[in-house]
Amino acid sequence: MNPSIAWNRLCWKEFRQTLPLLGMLAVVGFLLQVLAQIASPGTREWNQSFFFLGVPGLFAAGVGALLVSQEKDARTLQWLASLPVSRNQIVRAKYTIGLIGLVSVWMISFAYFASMRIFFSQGSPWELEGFESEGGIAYWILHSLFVFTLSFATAWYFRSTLVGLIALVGITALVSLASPIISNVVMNQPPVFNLQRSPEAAVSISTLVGFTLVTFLLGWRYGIRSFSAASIPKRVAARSIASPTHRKGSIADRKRVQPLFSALVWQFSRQNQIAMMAIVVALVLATTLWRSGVELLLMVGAILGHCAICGLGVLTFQGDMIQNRIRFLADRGVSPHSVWLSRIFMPLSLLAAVILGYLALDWTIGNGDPRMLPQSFYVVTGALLLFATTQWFSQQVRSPVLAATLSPLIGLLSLFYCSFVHSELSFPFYSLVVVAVVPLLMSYLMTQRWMDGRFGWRYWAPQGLAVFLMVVVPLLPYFYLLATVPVMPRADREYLASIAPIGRRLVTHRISLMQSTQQTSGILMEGASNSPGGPGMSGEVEVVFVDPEPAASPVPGEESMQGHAEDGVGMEGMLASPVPVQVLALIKKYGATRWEDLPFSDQRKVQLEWIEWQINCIPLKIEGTIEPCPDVINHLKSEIIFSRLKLEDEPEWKEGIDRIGRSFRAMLEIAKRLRLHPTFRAQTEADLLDIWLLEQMEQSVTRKLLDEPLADEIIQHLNNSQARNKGRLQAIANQWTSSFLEEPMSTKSSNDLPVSIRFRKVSYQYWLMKEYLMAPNASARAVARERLAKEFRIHEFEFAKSVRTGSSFPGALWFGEWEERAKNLRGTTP
Amino acid sequence: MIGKRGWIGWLVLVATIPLLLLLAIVGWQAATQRKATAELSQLKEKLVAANIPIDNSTMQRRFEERTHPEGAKAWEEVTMLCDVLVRSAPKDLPILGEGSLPRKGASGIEWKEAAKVNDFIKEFTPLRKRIAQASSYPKPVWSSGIRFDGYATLLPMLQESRNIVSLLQLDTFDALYQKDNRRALEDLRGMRATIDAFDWDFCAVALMINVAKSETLYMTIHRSMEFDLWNEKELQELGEMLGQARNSETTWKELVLGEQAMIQEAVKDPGRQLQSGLESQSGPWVHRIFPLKASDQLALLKLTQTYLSAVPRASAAHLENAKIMEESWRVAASTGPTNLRLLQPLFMTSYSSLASAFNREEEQRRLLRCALAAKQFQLKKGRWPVSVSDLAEIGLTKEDWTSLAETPFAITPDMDGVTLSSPSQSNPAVRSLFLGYVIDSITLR
Repeated sequence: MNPSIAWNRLCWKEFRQTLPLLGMLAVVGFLLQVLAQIASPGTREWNQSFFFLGVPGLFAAGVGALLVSQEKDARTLQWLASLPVSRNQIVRAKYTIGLIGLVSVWMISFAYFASMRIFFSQGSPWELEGFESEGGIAYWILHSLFVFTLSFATAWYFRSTLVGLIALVGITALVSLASPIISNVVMNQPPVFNLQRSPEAAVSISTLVGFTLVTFLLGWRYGIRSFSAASIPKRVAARSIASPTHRKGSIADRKRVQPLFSALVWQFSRQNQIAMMAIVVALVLATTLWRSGVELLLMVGAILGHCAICGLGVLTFQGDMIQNRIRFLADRGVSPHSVWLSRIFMPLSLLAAVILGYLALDWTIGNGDPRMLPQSFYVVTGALLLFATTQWFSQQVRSPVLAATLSPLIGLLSLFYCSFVHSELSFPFYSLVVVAVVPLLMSYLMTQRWMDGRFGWRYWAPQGLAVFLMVVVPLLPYFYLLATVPVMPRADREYLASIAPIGRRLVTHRISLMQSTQQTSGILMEGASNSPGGPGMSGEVEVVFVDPEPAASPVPGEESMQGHAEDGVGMEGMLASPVPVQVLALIKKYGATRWEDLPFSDQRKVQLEWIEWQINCIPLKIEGTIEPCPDVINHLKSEIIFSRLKLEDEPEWKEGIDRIGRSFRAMLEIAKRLRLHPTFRAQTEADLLDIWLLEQMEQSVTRKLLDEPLADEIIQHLNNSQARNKGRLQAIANQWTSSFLEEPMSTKSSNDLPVSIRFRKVSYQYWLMKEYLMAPNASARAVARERLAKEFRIHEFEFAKSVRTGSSFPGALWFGEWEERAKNLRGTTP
Repeated sequence: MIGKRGWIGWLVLVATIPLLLLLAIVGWQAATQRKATAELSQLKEKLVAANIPIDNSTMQRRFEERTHPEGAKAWEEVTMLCDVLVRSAPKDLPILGEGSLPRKGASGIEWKEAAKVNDFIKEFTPLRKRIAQASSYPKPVWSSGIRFDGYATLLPMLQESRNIVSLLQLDTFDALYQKDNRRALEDLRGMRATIDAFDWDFCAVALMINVAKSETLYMTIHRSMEFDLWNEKELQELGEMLGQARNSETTWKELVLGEQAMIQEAVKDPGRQLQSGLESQSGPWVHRIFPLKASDQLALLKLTQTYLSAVPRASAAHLENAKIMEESWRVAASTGPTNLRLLQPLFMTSYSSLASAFNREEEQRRLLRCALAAKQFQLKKGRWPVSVSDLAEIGLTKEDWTSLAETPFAITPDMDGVTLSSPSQSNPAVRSLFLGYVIDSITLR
């Protein structure tokens, strides 16, 4: 035969063999990466990188078994050897096609990963969250190459496919741990079992290169030797001589007829003895590593545990698929029930034993701390779910290699989906049992068809239905909530959206007191003093963008700021020169150069002038509003009360009357500006300020101290319910729209709800507020208020406590009896 | 091979029996919980009828009923005004900042910050009138602006009330330095009134703050004696200002009642309360997965009820009883259901620290009472008392001059005066009754 034709045919054959693995990994890898994006939209999580790196690794692990072990099982390897092609050529073809497959999977996986990053605008695909070891992507590519050569070596060496795969997992885990230890020896450093601080790149890469070369050479050697005539292993020969008919200790030694179930369990145990022992060792090792508390060991423990449980799932039915052993039972009319129970019995018992051991260890290490419970609970549930899914999957795949290679991904997919529906869609945790029961039930129901090898539409249709159930059932509570949760009527939504200040930029100003503890700016101190300390800067201007998209046209605030600058007190000035100059001028006016040198009484006078300057200068010249400023308000209140008390002792103290008038004027301006601020906090501050002003205006002593025009203006302001309610409505609209831009910080159990449901609930509560504000009459308002007090459960709750309204919702002060009292003020004279 | 019947028999053994057992357990649990729910609601109704707080709303009502609204408003205003002054006070003042208090030197009382304090205190002067006015209302007061919210209740007014005490303390020293007895006495009265107005005994934190304020008052009276300005009548008033010993039974009972309401509130929504009470975030998860059953809630309520009858009745028993109560709760919670263990750190925390603070407060009160009486004795008789029993002539009883360790205070001549000392000065066993600093001797001249 022409050598090139033989080579081409050989490669074609190998390529056809890798196709199922390649195709399934491409599909499952895509699903996992998409789910990872849905689970954490807009963020860069470790699991996205994990799937990108993990899928090629899985291909590398499976390809050896697929191309070699499968041929051993099907006994086609000897047939290949009989063809006129050299052994070297056969081995080379397998390695070459495997390597091409690995490169293809890397490219496919990277294409998914990069497109996700680009599609979701998450930056460079070269940054691997949680895997930033010093070797970067290169390290992981090399690692997959090592797994690739190891998978061939184990496949050539071991007679059993499953044992080979289990050995592969164990050796890979050992090599992962070897890097830090080698680093210790080479670099004379303590081993660092940490993902972020893995050993130096050179050591890691050198170690891997070394192991790769060794496994490649060994694999090649075993490959060539596999084509030699097989000799009976010594231990098998010895056993045959000792007991020519059957093995010692066999169930057949017993004299009486054994029950079917016992016989089947014994048969299962014997045929999977080595694999099960390896899995138990892996599970015990995984549990120990998981509890070690060292990052790298923990990671290795998690992966090992995951693979071991998946292996247990695969073993459930795949042990009988090797060399089509199940036909033996099917042909002898063994009941499918017995087969299913006997296949599930041992793996489940092993898993239960390991879980109990894990719980006992957890309880002992945690010293009985109940806070350890959730973690244990999730681990146990995850393990059961993993087993249920993979045993079901193993029944459907006819190739043990495919089942063993893909089951970790399938298990991960089911875990990931359950965790997604539980955490993101609030699917009740206990209900996840449905997801675990469906695969168990399906594998039970389909056992007969599986035994008979009947894989027609009657087999696949129920399987499809089961997948549908597993996917859809967890979504039902979410859709139920979506359908039943009360929502804001569309008309009101449109109305609130139309009046919300979305799309406009809102200029807000912060006015504050001078703080002697703050550091003084250099400009302020220039020519005044060189010592640190002194009055703090104040009058900062904040620009709040209500809309995340800045308006294209010049905004009123900016124009005003420019005009302001022309007056010599510009935007720049407020942050640098004019404000400090103003402060300096105020301090100098009272005969000092430093804030600390001023007598306390003069400091208070400067504070009042400083507040007046901020109010008169900033807000009136720039269209805008001010931030809530309880400190300033309290200071003004204290000015009024102290002056009034002093006036009781010194009625002729003219300065006191002047300070009271100025303080009232400043408070009135603040109250008016606060009303323009579209937040509940500002509205509540404004309400509290109005109530205080009202109480003062009700006292004839205070009224007498005020100028008539100022008193009238205050009364007019207190009676301006239209402006008050307009401010409140703006606050509702703004806070409602803001709640869609930034996730509301719920304080109650609504925190457990999916985001979309939470937004609906939040919208509904804003609607209740709007209904309360716009109620047509007193009785409707009373009903709305009662509902609001009962149902309002969003973040304003916290601010309500801080502003001390004594209520749990922001509208607690609206339409209070103080508003009626304010109406009565009109026309009254002191 | 085995027949069909054998296989079914095995199935019955393996599957049906556990299933039946499971059903029996579920049924038994359902019946137990149903009964516990009914009993719990009955018990709660009974407690509410007896005006015993069991949640936020009953706690809020209890405080509002006991509060004079106008008094609360007056104190709110005073608190706000004092807060403004303290916030804007120069940082080199004594008490409010880093300045030092007056001290007795070779040439009498020396105080380098005197001018600065006097300048600052002039602005405070009008406020004294407001404090006196607020003091006339019934005490304690509960701010209407505070919303009771279990362990998450914010108590800013309680913290701010310390500003009133600090300002009055500063004014007292200024008055004493200016030799203005009347103003100093008025300030001390204001301090006493503030302590009484904010005597919120529903939680350990509030009581701790209250004890701290009392100790400030005692320290001020103690230091005021160095100025040697008080006359006999004023000393008498100062003695009365120290008040009586704290009513242990009432205080502890109110504390347990308040905490009972808080823990019951925590049971309603453990996730939220635990988030503010525990560092670990897994607490709420446990409660989400394993909520506290009605029977556990009932057991908890019954348990907290038992603590009401276990409160200490005598001052000296504060510490011992507190430790017993703490231990009892620790054992009850740790042997109870898992999720009850998570609530353990919320309830009955710092009871022994509080008990120790009570002991310290009482010991200092008694010692100071004796010191004031000794000075009164000296002014009346022209000589210092020889032993504490001489103070009976001033109207003191044996309890007044006996330490919490049941040992009488000692009076020893000291140059031209006397030193009054507590046994805790020399006895570490007695000192262990009080954690932290305690005045254990007062020298009078």
